[in-house]
Amino acid sequence: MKVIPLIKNETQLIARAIKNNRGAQQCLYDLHSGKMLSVCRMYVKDLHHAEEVMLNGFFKVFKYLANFKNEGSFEGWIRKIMIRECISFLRSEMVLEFKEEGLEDFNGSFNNIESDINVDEIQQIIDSLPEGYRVVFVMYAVEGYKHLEISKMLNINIGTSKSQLFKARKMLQEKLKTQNISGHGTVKI
Amino acid sequence: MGQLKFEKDFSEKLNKREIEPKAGSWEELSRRLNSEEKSNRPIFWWIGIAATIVGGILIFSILFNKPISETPVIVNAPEEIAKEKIESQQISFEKPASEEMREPEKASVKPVGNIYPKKEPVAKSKLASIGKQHESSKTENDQTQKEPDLLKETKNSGIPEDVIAEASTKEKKTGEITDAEVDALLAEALTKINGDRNAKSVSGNIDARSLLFDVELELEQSIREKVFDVLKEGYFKARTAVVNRN
Repeated sequence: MKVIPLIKNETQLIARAIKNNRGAQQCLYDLHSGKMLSVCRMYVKDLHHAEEVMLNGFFKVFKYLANFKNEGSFEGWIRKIMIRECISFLRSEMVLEFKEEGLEDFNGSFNNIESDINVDEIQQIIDSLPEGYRVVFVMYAVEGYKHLEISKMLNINIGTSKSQLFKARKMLQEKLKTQNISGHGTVKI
Repeated sequence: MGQLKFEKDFSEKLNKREIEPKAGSWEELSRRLNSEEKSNRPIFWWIGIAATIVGGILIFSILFNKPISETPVIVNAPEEIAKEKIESQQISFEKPASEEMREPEKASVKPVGNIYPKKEPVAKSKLASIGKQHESSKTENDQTQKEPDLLKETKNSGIPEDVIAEASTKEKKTGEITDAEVDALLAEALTKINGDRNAKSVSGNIDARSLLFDVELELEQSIREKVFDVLKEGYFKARTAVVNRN
């Protein structure tokens, strides 16, 4: 059950949470934990690990809350911390590897497929991607990062980021087509 | 390469999704936050104590090194002051000399004591010797017991004995001493005293050293007070910072 915050003003909650007010911190946690666990789940396949990563992320959020300057949304700030935490988790698990790709034309045309599948199926399809593809795809397609930002965050070349996205898209298209054939969801081409 | 249609759909659906964390996840996070706070506190205190000690040492080293470098300046100052004092005394002492004719009791002792407080032991020893001589002279001559108060006090004030003796012999001879004679004798005594003192102050190691010692002692005391003030201030600042933080 969610704790309904008595003080709805997030800025006031943040100000109190900075002073280590546990009540305010819990309110902020309850407000954002659902979404942040969803974010972590996109990067980390295992829900238990995703939750662990989310808790680590919130621990850092409250530890460095004084650094939040109210520039941009608080949710966006937490989200960034969560993504970084996910990346460092995947690195620590030695599952995040990127192969340097040769110069190819990654601007090849894709069939503009429309999908009508539910969120759990989407998650399943994303989970089926290799770690590198999945991370770049989620960062680009879902979070809206640019290749330059992705390359900096993952410490890879822009070309590698582009190639990872290209291959992820290709795989996803194939999977969506297969899903259409097998009758799961609706895919329109 | 923009966002594809299925990507847009993925993004919308995934961003709307919320996954409820397991029960007790907040308690786990709260425990971690509590343990972090507890572990941070002693570190904060140790850092504070270490900073205070280092700061204290720095302040001590800075403040106690200063007087050594400034010693030459301090040495010069007392000599000048002493000379100035002597000069001013010469001027101020000449005036009462004329007034002494009218009120000899007041003018005799005071100026000497005021100018050279450090010479009190010397003056006392002189007085003692003069006193002894005076006692011996009592037995020899009864007339010396009738010496006027002026002469007694001038003895005590350090006027050379030959001047006093001269005055007493003149008195013996003539029976009376005129004001002009007293005036002349006092002036002579004064010049002799001043001559002696000038000579002492020029070559005088005793005055310079004692003055220097006094000045250094005063300076040291003031530095200690400053250091204690600084430390006290720092302590109060640290305490208020800790209180505000809590």
